[in-house]
Amino acid sequence: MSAGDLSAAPLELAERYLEIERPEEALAALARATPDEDPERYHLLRAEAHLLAERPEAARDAAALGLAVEPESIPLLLVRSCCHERLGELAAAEESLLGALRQLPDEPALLCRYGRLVARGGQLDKARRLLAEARRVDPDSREAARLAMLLDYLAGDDRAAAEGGRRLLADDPEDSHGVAMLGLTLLERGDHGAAREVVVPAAALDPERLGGLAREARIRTHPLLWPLWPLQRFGSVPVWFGAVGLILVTGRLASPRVSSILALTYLAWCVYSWVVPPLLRRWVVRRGR
Amino acid sequence: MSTDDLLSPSLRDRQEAEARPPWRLSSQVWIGLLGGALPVTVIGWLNAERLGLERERRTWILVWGAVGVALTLLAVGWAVVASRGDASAQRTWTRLASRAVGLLTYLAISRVQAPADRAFRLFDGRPYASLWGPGTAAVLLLGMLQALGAMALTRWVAQ
Repeated sequence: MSAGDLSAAPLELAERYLEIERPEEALAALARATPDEDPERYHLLRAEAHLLAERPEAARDAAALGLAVEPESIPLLLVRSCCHERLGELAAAEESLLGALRQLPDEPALLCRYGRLVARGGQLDKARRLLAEARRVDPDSREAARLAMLLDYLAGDDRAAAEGGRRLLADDPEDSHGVAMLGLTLLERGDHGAAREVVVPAAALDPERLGGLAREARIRTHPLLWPLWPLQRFGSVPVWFGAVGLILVTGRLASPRVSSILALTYLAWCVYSWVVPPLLRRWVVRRGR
Repeated sequence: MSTDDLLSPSLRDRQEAEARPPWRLSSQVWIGLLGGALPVTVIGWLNAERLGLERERRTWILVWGAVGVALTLLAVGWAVVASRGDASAQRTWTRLASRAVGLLTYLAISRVQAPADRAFRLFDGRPYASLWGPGTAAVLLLGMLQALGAMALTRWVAQ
């Protein structure tokens, strides 16, 4: 057996551990290897392991060590970009991602990833141009469909975002990411029943990712919150204008007495809307434990 | 627009978001209701810094805030004229007008903040900061400042 085989074995082992999401074992395997044989792969695996173990700082440093040896490595640039993004360092994430994108400017997945990053930074127009570019290269790209939905959601176009989400799920009903985005969009629109129908069954299959959203959908469709539907449907400001208008008109047309009963009812309803939802949320969280 | 232009960095010059997490957008409605246009604008502006809002969008908060304060003063002037010397009616209408304009200002300002707020909720993972302290301070101090301005205007209109 040659020396090359001996040092390659730990890397393969680490790869297997990462596939089954056991980062600490992967790092232990890598500790037995030396970087010299295949530095790109060695540092990449270390970075991925740290990232999987929720240590983005360590992962970023591991990727930087690899990039010092292989400055043009696309996988290393991408993993470093991901670390920076996780740490909220958007400008550094952009620099790494562009390093990869300049080598593969026609790759829809990378274009979409960049679109997502600039969208996170608030640059929705540029994100839309990147989306158009990705679709020019591949009109059926699934990443592009996801980015389109994200951009509609961020721009506040919940109707378009929900349509995009339904199309994504029509292609692949078990896509957790699509379920999460669609559920979030439907909750945002005040369409809580539909959100519950989408999210709760999917959460049974992927509780880790969708459990929190399913709980939120359950809370918002609870019978105790039914009296608050105008708030969810119209928003607090239009409801205030409606209530005050009604109180003023009845005071003028009917009697001051009817008007003050209405005012007291509205006030009681407001108090209900402050007190009941937080209590219900606390109760559901406690029961869920 | 060429690809070269698309692939040049644009996040470098961006105003980085502050380390402190932002305030919940829906909580700001109370500041509009209880304090009026001026405090909800100031809170919206400070929140824009926390969200790392683009400079151009941030300017819109000031624009809507200025429109809101001007509308408040107009509405107060109208309330004084419409109530024809009836002090109780004048108080009611002044208060209602200030609240109505405060809520409309909130609507406009929250729309400016909304995309960055959604991005925070989706990507950041930290909880919102509490608005209780800063909100109460804004309502009391700036709301009072705005009320004093309105009162001075009332006197001037009444003369």
